Amino acid sequence: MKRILTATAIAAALAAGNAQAAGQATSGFNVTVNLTSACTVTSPTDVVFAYTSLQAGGSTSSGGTFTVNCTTSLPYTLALQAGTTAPFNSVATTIPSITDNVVQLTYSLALSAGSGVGNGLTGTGFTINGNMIGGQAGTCATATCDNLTSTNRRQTLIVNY
Amino acid sequence: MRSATFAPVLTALMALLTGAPSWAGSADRSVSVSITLSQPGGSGGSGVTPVPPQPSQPSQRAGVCYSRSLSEQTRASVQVVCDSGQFVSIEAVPGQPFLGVHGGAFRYAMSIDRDRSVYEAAAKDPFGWRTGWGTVTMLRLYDVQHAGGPGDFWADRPLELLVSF
Repeated sequence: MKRILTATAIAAALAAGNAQAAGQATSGFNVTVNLTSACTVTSPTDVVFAYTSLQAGGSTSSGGTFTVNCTTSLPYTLALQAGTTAPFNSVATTIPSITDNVVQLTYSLALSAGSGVGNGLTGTGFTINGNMIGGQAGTCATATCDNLTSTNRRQTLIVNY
Repeated sequence: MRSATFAPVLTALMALLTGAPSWAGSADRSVSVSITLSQPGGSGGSGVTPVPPQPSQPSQRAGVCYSRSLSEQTRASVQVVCDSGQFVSIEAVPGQPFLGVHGGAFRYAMSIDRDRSVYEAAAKDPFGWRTGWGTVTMLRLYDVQHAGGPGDFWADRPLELLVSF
């Protein structure tokens, strides 16, 4: 008798639960995402020259590395511009000739590549390569000099996207 | 008629818009160029390190190079290299001991052939000294170039090389 009462109670509970799903309505909706493409560029390391006055051969620089992170698939271009004065509208990938106004040595700068395609957080590395031809005397009153006080030692890297 | 007038303008405007840069933005960073300039022959140069003058020696003068590291040694081979390029090597006569004393049998060899004539001119006893290959311990070299003004005769400004053991 007790078992019969228990089964009856369970059946009644199940029937009461089904009574709440009398109908169903659904509605799809859109998720709108507006993504603004962007690029960031790290500050390039210094482009470093070590030059001996009147040396026969040319000298290439070290350093000048930087990384560009852009929205995936976004194409971008790189450019160099002499000095740090806006507007930064150069599209050239080289600076053909700069004469440092302290050590009076002339050099050129060139980008390792002029364009790229964004790859998100991975980023792409580039290098600013410097070249200094041989046979330059330079100006230096002591055994060694540097150009830390030069007013034209800073140039500008531009990323357009 | 108006539309005909506007048509070229509109076309030109469209062309300008098409030709305009399509950049959505830009980013820029400044980069510094660091230059270290060294003088030739300095620590950054290559080649044989010049023998620096020794301040403790009272007889030393600017422009004269000294090497006394092998003084009073027999069978020594000494090489003196100067910043300005003057060079002399001193070695024993082949097959004979290097006496290393005043009056010993030395041989002087100039490194630059064009200087040989200068040496030989000096070796013709201009001041009463008998200078010659392998017989002297002191040699005067003369710079025959740049003799331009009074008192600038080459014999008036010898570059003196003193070899002493």
